[in-house]
Amino acid sequence: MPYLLRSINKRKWDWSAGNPPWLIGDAIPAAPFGDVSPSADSELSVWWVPDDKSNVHRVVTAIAAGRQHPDKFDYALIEEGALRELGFVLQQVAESCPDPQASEQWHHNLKQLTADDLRRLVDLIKRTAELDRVQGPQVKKLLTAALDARRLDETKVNSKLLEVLRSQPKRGAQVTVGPSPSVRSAPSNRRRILTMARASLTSTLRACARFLRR
Amino acid sequence: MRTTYRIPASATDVFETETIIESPRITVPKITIATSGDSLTTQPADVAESFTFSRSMTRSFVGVVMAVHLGIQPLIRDERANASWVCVERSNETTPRRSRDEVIEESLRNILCCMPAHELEDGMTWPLGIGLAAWFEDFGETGLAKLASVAVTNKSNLESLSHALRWIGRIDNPDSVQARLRLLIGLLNAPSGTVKDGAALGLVELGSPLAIAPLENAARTETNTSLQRDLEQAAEYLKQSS
Repeated sequence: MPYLLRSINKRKWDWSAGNPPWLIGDAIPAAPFGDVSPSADSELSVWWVPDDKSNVHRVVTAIAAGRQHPDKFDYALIEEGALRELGFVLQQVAESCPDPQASEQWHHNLKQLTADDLRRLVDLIKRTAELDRVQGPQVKKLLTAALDARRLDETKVNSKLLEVLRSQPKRGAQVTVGPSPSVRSAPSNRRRILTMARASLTSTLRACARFLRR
Repeated sequence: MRTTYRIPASATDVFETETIIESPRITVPKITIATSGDSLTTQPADVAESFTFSRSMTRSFVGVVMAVHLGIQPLIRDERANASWVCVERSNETTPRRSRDEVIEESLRNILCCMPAHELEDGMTWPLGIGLAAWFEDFGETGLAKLASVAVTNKSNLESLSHALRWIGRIDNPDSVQARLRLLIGLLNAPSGTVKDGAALGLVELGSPLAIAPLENAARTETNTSLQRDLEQAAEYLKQSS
C-alpha cells in the first residue's frame, strides 16, 4: 500500500505512557504537533510514496534542497489508506520546490484540517507510521548527485546550501564520507571582507593625514 | 636658531612616518614613552607652553571625528594633546576581570542561545554553526570540556545542544579529531536522549570508524527503542562507509 511522507524530528515522537513522567494516561505531549504544523490555509504538505518506497530519496533531496546545509533527515511514512479511512481530504498539488518534477508527480496537501484532525493525525503517526532517518552525509551525497544530474533548479536551491556543496572538493561516486561541510568557509570569507574594508579604511585615513599635514 | 625634533611613529599611530616638530626658539621637555603590556603608549607629556600643539590637536580631532562618524575604534590616539584617552583607558581598567573559564562558558551560552528555539530545525542552523566554529577556533579543547559539562548538566536548550554537537562533528579541523571524538563518545552517555542523539549524529558527521563500537555499546544499553534504532543506524552507517 502507498504511503505519505512527512518530514519530522524523531525525538519529538519518543514519548510513551509515563515518559516524560508528567504525561498521564493516553495524553499526547505537545511536541509532535510541531511536526504537523499546517499552513495558514489549514493545509499540510505531504509527499506520496509508492509501496516499494522507490522515490523516498528523491523526495528527501527535494525537501533538503530548501535547507541551509546538509543535515540528517527524519521522516514519517503514513499509510495512505489509513488516512483516507479517517476522512482526511487529500489533494495532489505541485508546490514551489527545487525539484519541480518531483513536486508535480508526488506532492499532496492534506486539506481542511481542524485541531481534532491534527490530534488524530499525531495519534495515527505514533501508532502506525514508519519513522526513519537519512544520515547527514548521505543527504549531502544525494544533494550533490541531484545537482550533478541537473534534477534541481539551482535558482530554487537554498543559496547557502549551494555554497556549501560547491565549496567541497568533488568526490565523484566515492562512497566513503569525509568530514562534512566546512563551516570555516563562511567565516573566512567574512574575515576576508572585513580585512579588505579595514585596509581601505586605513589607506583613506592615511591619505587624509597626508593631506592635513601639507 | 631653528631646531628640529623628530618623534618616532608609535605602534598605535596611523601615521607610519615620523612626526617633525619645528619651532624657531624652543625648549622642548622630554616626552616619556612607557610600555604597558604589549602595547606602546605615549603618556600625556608635560610639555612647555611654547610647544606647538596645533598639529597633534588636529590629528586627534580628525581621529575622533572619523571614529565617531564611522563607528569604529579610533586609530589615532595622540595622547599628548588629548588626555581624555588616558581617562577612558583608566576607567576601563576598573572593570573586574573575568576568568577564562567564565569567558568560555558565557560565550558558549551566547552561541547556544543565538537562535530562538522555534527556529532550530534540521539543516537550518547555519548561524549556530558559524558561531560554534569560531568559538572552537578560539578556545579549542578547553572549550570542548566546557561544552561537555554544559551538555551533561542539561544547562542549556537540549535541541540547541543537539545541533551544536552535530556542528562539532562537521568542523573541518583534522588536528582536533581525537578531542572531538572523545567528547562525542562521552556524550553518548548523557542523561538526555536529545543530547545522545546529537552526539551520535556528530559522530556520523565526523566519520571516524573508531566511533562504531561506542555507538553499538550505547545502543545496547538504550531503553528508548526509537533512539536505540537511531544509534544502531549510526553505527551501521559508519561501518558501511569505512
